[in-house]
Order: sequence, then structure tokens, then C-alpha cells
Amino acid sequence: MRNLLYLIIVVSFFGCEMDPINIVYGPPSNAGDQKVLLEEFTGVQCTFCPQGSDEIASLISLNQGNVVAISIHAGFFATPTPSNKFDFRTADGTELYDLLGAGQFYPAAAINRVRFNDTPITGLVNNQTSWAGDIQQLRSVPAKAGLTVKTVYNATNRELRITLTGIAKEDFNEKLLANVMITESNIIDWQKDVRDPSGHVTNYVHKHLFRDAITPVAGDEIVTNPKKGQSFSKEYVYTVSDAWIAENCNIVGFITYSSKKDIIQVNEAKVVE
Amino acid sequence: MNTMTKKITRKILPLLFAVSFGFAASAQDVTAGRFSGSLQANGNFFIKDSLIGASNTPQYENKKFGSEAWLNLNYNAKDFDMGIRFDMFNNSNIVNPNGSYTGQGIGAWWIHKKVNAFDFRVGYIYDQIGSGIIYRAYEDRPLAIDNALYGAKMSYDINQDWKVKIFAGKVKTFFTSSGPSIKGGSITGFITGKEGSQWSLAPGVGFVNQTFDDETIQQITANVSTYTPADGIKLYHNTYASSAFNTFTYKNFSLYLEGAYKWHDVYRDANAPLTLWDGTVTAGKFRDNPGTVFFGSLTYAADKVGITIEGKRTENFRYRIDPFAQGNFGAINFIPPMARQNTYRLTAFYSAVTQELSEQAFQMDITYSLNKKVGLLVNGSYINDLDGNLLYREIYTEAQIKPNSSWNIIGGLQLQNYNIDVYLSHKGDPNVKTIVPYADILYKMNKTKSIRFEAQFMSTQQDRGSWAYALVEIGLAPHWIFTASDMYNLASDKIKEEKPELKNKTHYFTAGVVYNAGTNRFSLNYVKQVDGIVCSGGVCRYEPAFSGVRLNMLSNF
Repeated sequence: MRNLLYLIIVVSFFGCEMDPINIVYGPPSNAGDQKVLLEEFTGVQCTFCPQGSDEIASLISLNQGNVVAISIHAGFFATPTPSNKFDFRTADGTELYDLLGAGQFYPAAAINRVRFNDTPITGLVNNQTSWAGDIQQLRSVPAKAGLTVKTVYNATNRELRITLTGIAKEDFNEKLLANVMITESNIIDWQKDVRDPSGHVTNYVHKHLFRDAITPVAGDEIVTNPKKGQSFSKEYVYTVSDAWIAENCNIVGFITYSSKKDIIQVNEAKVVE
Repeated sequence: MNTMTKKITRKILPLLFAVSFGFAASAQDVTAGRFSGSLQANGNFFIKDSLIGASNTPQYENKKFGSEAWLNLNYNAKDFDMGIRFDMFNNSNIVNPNGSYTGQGIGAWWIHKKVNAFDFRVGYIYDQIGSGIIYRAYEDRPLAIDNALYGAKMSYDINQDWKVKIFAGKVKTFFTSSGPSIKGGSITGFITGKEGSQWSLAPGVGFVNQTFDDETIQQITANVSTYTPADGIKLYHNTYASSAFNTFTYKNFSLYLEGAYKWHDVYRDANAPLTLWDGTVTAGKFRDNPGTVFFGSLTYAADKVGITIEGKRTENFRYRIDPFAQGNFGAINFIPPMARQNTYRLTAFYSAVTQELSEQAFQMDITYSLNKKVGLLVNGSYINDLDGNLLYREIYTEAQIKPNSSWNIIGGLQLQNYNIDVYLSHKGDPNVKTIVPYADILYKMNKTKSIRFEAQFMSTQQDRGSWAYALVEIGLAPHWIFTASDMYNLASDKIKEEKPELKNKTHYFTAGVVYNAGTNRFSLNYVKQVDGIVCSGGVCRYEPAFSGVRLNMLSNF
């Protein structure tokens, strides 16, 4: 029994209070030039996703537009119910789900496709609880490249000309890939919602909805071994589906490494400026 | 192959074999060692079936085939044993039922030696303190849980009755290990009266200390620093948990009590409201509230009667090596479930997953043997959250009748009240109330031929409505078992009106064959399985519907 008493005394010392780590609370800093892409995996049957959507809106606002969002309907939770008017799933969305290893817990999002210390081994997507912190970490580092997205839209034939122009802010010793995607906002359809007493919202407003990948999902070569200060660009021509409202559509462009999935820089532009 | 696996392959394997053969050679003079092992392999072929929801995952859309394998090799000699295990996941959905995971390498290795009162173990270690409330390292393959301690453990027998153990290391996460480290220990004993005494005590205390590495601290800080001060937390490099437990035995009675306390730990509460800087209120944040668990189990065992009464209160005891870990991954501990672990298909359809943040529960289990031919069982579960909201009720009855050596008949009734909002996030849906009569009849025609029949019916007016299930199993000993089953949805018109998808989802047919050859077992099944909660050993997770062919192999050698 004496041994037991000794151990209890020793263990009780472990619980002694020490000074906690000093955490400085505050809204996101907006000093940096690095923009961040949040690729959210969501679905009409995901009850917690509307909360995630609200947080995305808040993160875009708090980061003063330096966060770009794409909401990809893919995976188990994206299967439409008979209450839905639309099926938001796409072949490219499913390919992204596979490429980024979307998890079993929704909402989840890849943040610039970076593997953080808290990213599950099964993919590059993180839980909602991590998004703000992940964005904060990326935003605090100077961008390695700049990127602009320009669009010229012809409403008559719905032809869209997209120009991605980048500039290297440091030397790269590999091929860089461009990705161009189109999103649409303000689509109203049925959605599960944990916050509603009925568990769903009939006229939920879907935002940043992934519609199509204009480049291959794996990326399209835009430049090889660019040196610091070197600019590069590429143009894409695309016909906007007449099932979508062009005024509600955005073009998201980003460049990645070819050796890894990390996004170097991202930007977006409206289809109809 | 990742860096760690390469390092193990290059450095540890040769060492293991060198030690193994060296020891085996030297041990021949003393005692012969023995090699043993096992191989478990699973293969899944996915057949898309959108009607039952078996679609929209990489397996159904393009991968088509997924597999897992574990090869275990052990060497045992006097006071010494060692082992190594190769793990393989190939487009596997076992890690994430909605995704595809590929990885292979050395999943575990260990060396164990006992020297008089000392006992050493290094490598990957499975162990627990008390009932596991503050620490349990274990493997549960169906749920892809393997949180072995990657480190070292030492125990010392103070005397015949008292033992102390300490351990330190990191927590295994597939082919890597956690950033944060863990250490802990316990002292356990045994006290009884003089010879012939009818009472005994088996007390113990344990503690666990977790130290966050700099990267984890940085990650937590980066996340929490975006909170408003009102939602802020106190973050420490070290977190602690301790427990005290005791088993008191007197004649036919046995009372186990355990109390556990956790402090300075950061954990994620997925439902806690978080107010962002612009006033938006969302859900899910890190918290640092102290956690407690109180658990008790009273057992009475006599010739014909066995009674177990259990109680548990849990508050804020989500305990992970990494606060970002999702689902069951990264668990440091195991909280005992307070609902019966049912095995029949429909009695297990609605399973009460252990609630780590808020739960108070009681369970009672009574068995009674009328005679050698008739046995009875009654089990009751009562689970609320700490605010008194009903989470789960169950009354389970079972009668087993063995009129002669040819017949074995099991039958009973289960009643449930299941909070589907909490357990399955079906917000707004009413609690599911079920009545499930079931029967399991085995008839042995002779020593080699038998037939078994299962029938279950679940009556409910909630969720997806009523179900019927039937299974026929023909056994041709010693090699063959053939099974066929069907699960059939009987939702009312009212439910089908609310959930039109049920109109086309009726039959979930499964058929298979099992072949046994000595210590080898092979099975091949065509499976249509409805989505739902899948539990193993009291730990559960949600799994989507399955459609396809499953091939399983288990071999011991």
C-alpha cells in the first residue's frame, strides 16, 4: 500500500499548474500577397456542411478576398435525394475527390493542397476546425509567384476567353502546371442542415459550386523552370454551358508544382465582369 | 515506402533476424524456440449499385478492387519473444470507407525479454491501464484501428502481488507515428486476507502524460489564434490523465470501480459554437475543459445465475494523441460501451456509439439457467447525455433451448429507443423505436451435416421503416459452410412518401461459401449491405452501403 501512496503523490505533482503558452488572439492579418485556395468537399446530404459554408464566407470576408473557394459536390454525401432539383456531382469533381483524398468526415477542405501537420494520412483535406489556422499559416509566408486571371465573355455564343498570367518571385527548377476551373453561385436547392429543426432547408443557396475543370484535373503545363522575375501566360477558350447563369459564374485559376500537389498561387475572376 | 519504413527495413530487420538466429542458436542448449504466425488477407471487388447508395467513391467509380493483408511472424522461447508484422493496404476502403488508401510496409515489430522480476518490451506495444479509460493501445482491423505505442515498456514485479510498469513512446499511425509523445505508468496490486479468505482487492493507479511537439503546438496555436478571446483556450506543452481503479471480490460478488481525470488536454468538440471575428457563429472548436470518467461494474456469479450491473458517467473525455485526429484515429484510450454488443443483423442495426463528451449510462445483464437445456438472458441499457436527454434505451431478451444434441434454438425480443439525431446526425428525425423478434435455429443431422436458420424482423415506424432478415447456413464439416441471406425493407407507404429513395431499395441479398482446411479459412461472399453504423469491440463508425464481392483468407501457422 505504501507503494500505491508514493505513486499517487508522484502523479499528483504532474497536475501542478504551469504557465500556459501565450496565444495572441486576433482577426487574420492581411499583409501578405499569398492567396489561398480552399477546395471544400461537400454534399446535399451533409448536415454540417452549411455551417462550413458560412465559415468559408466568413474566411473570405476576414481575409479580404485573399481566400478563394470552390465547393465540390462529390462522394457519399453528394448523392442527390428525391427532394433535390439538381445533381451537383461531376466527373471532374469525383476525380478531384480521388486526387485529394477526401475523407469520411464532411465538410472537409484542401487548403492550397498543402499537407499540414494535422492533415490525415489518407489525403490532403482537413476538418473545418483547421481551416482558419491553415489559411493563417499560408498567408503569413510571402508568395513565390503572382497570378492574375482575366476573362473576356461573349454573351452571344457564350464563348469565354481566359488568360492566366503569372510572374515568378523566385527561381523554380521544374515544370509548373496551370489549373482553371469554373464555379457558380446562388443556386437554390434542397440541402440538409443541422441548424434547422427539420434537419434540412428547401431553398438553400449554394455558393462557389464546382461546375467543371477547364484544364485537365491533373493540371496543364504553363511554364518550365521560370526564373525570378520571369512572367508567363496561357490562354484558354471555353464555352459556358447554357444551363448555368454566366453572371453567377467565376473562373478560378491556380498554378501548382509538377513534383507535388501544393498550390503556388491562386486567383479568380468573374466570367462577366 | 516512406522514410521510416525504409529505415526499419534497412536497420531493424537485419537486427531482428540476427538477434533471432543468434538467440535461437544459443537457446538450443537451453530450450527450443518456436516460430508461429498468421496471415490475414481481404479482397474486395466493388460493383456499383446506385440504388443502394454504393457509388461515388473511388472504388465504385474507377478503382474497382481493394485489398488488405497482415502477415505476422512470431518467435517464442523461454522468457523471450519477438515478432514482426507486414501490413498492406491497396486501394483499401477499410481506412476510410468513402475513400481509397494505399500503403504498405512494416506495420509492427517487437522484442520482449523477461529477466527475473524485470520485463522489457520495445517496438510496437499493445497494452492498457485499468479498463483502458486513460490508456489503451490495441488493434481492431475491421475499423482500421491500430494505435500501438511505438516505444519501450518496462515492468517490475515488486513482489508476488505488486507490479509497476512504465512506458514511453509515440502513437502508431499506419506507417508513421504521432508527433506528440506519450509516457505513463501504473502500479497494480493484489491484497487478500489470510489463507482461505473469501475477499480480495486488486487496486491500481495509473497516469499518462502527453507532450505536444513543437509542430503540433504551432498548429494548434495557428488555429486557436484565429478565435476571439471569448473562445480562447489554455494550451500547455504537457497534458495529463490519471486514474484509480480497484476490483473488490467477496465470495460470488465482484465490484470494479474506476475514476479517471484528464487535465490540460486540448480536444475538438464538433458541436461547440464558435463565434468568428465578424460575428458569424459556426460549430466546432478546440476546448480545454477537464475531463472525467467514473465507471463501475458489479458482478454476481453463481451456479445458475449471473448478474452484472454497470454504470458510467463521462464528461469531456475525448482523448487523442493529436487533437486534430478525426474519428477513431489517434485515440489514446478506450471508454467501455454501455450497450450490449449485439451480433444478429437487425438487433445490431442501430448501435449506440460511446459518447466521449457527455454521457451517463447504466446497463444490467442477467443470465439464468433453468436447467441444462434452457438458459435465459435479459439485458437492459439506459443512456442519457449529461443534460438528461435520452440517447438510448434497450431491453434485450434471449432464450436458448438445447432439447438434445441435434437441436440448438435461440430466440428472443429486443426493444430499442434510439436517438438518431445524436448517433447518426439525422437532425430533426424522431427517435427510432424498434421491436425486433429474432430466432436462430441449428439442426445437426449428423456429425458432419448441419443446417442453421436465422430470422429477424424489425418493426419501426421511424427512419427507414421496418426490415426483415433471413439467413440459411448449411454446414458440411469439416470443410464447407454455405450461406445465403436477404435483408428486405418493409417501409410503410408514409415513410416511402417521405423518403422516395426507399421505393427502389428493397433487397440486400448476400451469398457465400467458407472453406476450412486445418488452421486455414477461406471465404468468398457476394454482398449487398445497407449503410449504417458498424461496431467492433464497442468502437463504432458509420460505413456506407457495400455492393460487391468479398474474399477473405485467414491462416495460422
